[in-house]
Amino acid sequence: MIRVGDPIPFGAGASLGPAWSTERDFSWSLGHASTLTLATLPGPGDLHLELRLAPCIRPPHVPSQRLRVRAAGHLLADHRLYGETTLRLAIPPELAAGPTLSLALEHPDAMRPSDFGDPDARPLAFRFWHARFLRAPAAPAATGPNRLVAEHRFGGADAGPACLEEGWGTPEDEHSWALGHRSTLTVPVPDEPGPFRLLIELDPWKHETLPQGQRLTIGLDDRLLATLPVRLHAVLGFDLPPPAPGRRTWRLAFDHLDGARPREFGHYADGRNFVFRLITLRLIRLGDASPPVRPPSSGDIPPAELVQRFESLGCTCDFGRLQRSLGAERLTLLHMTLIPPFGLVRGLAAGFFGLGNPAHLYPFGAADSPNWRFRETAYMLEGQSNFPRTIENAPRVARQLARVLPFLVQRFFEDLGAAHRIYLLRPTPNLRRPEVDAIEAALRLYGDATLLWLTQDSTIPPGEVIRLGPHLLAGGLDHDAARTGSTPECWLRTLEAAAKA
Amino acid sequence: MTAERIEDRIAAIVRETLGAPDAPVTEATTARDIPGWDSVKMVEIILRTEEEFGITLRSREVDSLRSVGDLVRIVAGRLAT
Repeated sequence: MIRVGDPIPFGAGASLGPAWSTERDFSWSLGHASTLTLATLPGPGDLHLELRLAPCIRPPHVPSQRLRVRAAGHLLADHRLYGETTLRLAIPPELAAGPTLSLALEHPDAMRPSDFGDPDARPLAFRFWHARFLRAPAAPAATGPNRLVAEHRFGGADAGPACLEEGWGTPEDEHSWALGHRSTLTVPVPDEPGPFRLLIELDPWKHETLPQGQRLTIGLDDRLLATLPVRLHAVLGFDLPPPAPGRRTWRLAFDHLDGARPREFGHYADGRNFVFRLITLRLIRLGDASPPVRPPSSGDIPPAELVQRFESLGCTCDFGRLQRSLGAERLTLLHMTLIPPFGLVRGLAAGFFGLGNPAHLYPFGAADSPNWRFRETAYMLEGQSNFPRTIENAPRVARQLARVLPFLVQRFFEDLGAAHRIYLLRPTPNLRRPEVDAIEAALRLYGDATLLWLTQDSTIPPGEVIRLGPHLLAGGLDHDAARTGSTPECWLRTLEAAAKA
Repeated sequence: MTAERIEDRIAAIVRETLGAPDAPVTEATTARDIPGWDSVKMVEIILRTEEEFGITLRSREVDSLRSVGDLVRIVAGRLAT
């Protein structure tokens, strides 16, 4: 029986209409149109369909193929695809309720490989590997002061080659590579007044000869946004100047010194000069900047009440243990997990859509734990399961998390909407201000939240908290003492200072 | 449904989820009383309770849970409305 999250293979055995080939592990859609019928799956939450596919292309003559997907008069997708990708289609409720879902696929650019010297004379459009139904809880209400007004992806079906100018590779599945010494693109200006914060998700090309990372200078029109090295996959946030009246686009420019050719390092035979993968640009309209209203904090706050005013954004297991020791542990999504800052921004921007999809959950063993740990690959969330590390327990980890994580996602956003907590950010290694600004802007899409950045350097003494902005605090913490749990006072001093800041 | 019946069904859910068929479960039982009752197991108990009684607990109700009796009272209140 097919269940939510199971792949439905397109190879031999799949029930496809005419205009499909049947190969062993996949099927080609043939000609200019094809149809596909799938049995839908009942259950709560919105239904989504994932399709794993790739166009038949022969660059430079046929660099891409167009694909439209319709169902009962609804246009579900309209893309130009350049390479292998995963499409995710939201299925309207009235179609999801039916016993079957019939999709009409239009692929007007089908081509015959024989026209390019290959023996295959069939009109090939797209190679489909599998489909997969996903159920997701209703999207969290983005009722916070900030609003996501645009999201530009630079990979796969969502790539926007029209806005990439000079210095980019052909869009790949999830990204486009910045190449050479300068890369530029245009960003459409929204049809509303600002202020805006631009969030840039990128991942530098890494090599041991580049310990400092990729040094970037980022400019917007004639304004310098930042000069900084980027060593790890990151999301950088920058406040943008208000657009001039009538302005249609901004021009974003990256100047880079450290591009490297993988071929010169013996990696593989790619002679391009790689700098970083550009994955996503998000534009957030910043809302009201007045400080939040929180419970009065004069006088001593009982420790159990104090710790409940805070919620973890990952990497704070010692805070979770402190809550537990005070009998004040809360069931929250991230309090006993690790998540990289880019995963956190992705999760916030997407409402952690699909977190708990078994296809993205992998158990793994760690030397310091008798239980399975797990890694989730959409947001790179990592945590501890409560299953001992035996072979028969491995599949149980994903089954349990497929139920538990959506519940915790829903609670996370309910809490965020209530807007009375301070969120603890303690990433390792330490972040730079643009990375913190990106997280703060994304967090406030859902509620009037405040962020407490527990810095990893010594610029703020332990127990002290300074205000960097209306909704951004920076705090000092004796991290070594906090992690051992030997002196809970070090946590409590910092938390109390933040509650009163 | 009586409070006793609700308590019996929730006690069964707790024992089954924790793999502790002989554990004594009363209204006063808390997570500290039964080994292995961690936060993930707590979520499982909540989800199974929601499925068993056809309700959805609100975030504030989940925060207020300290004992089996708290869960019984919330379920009884929901079924009464």
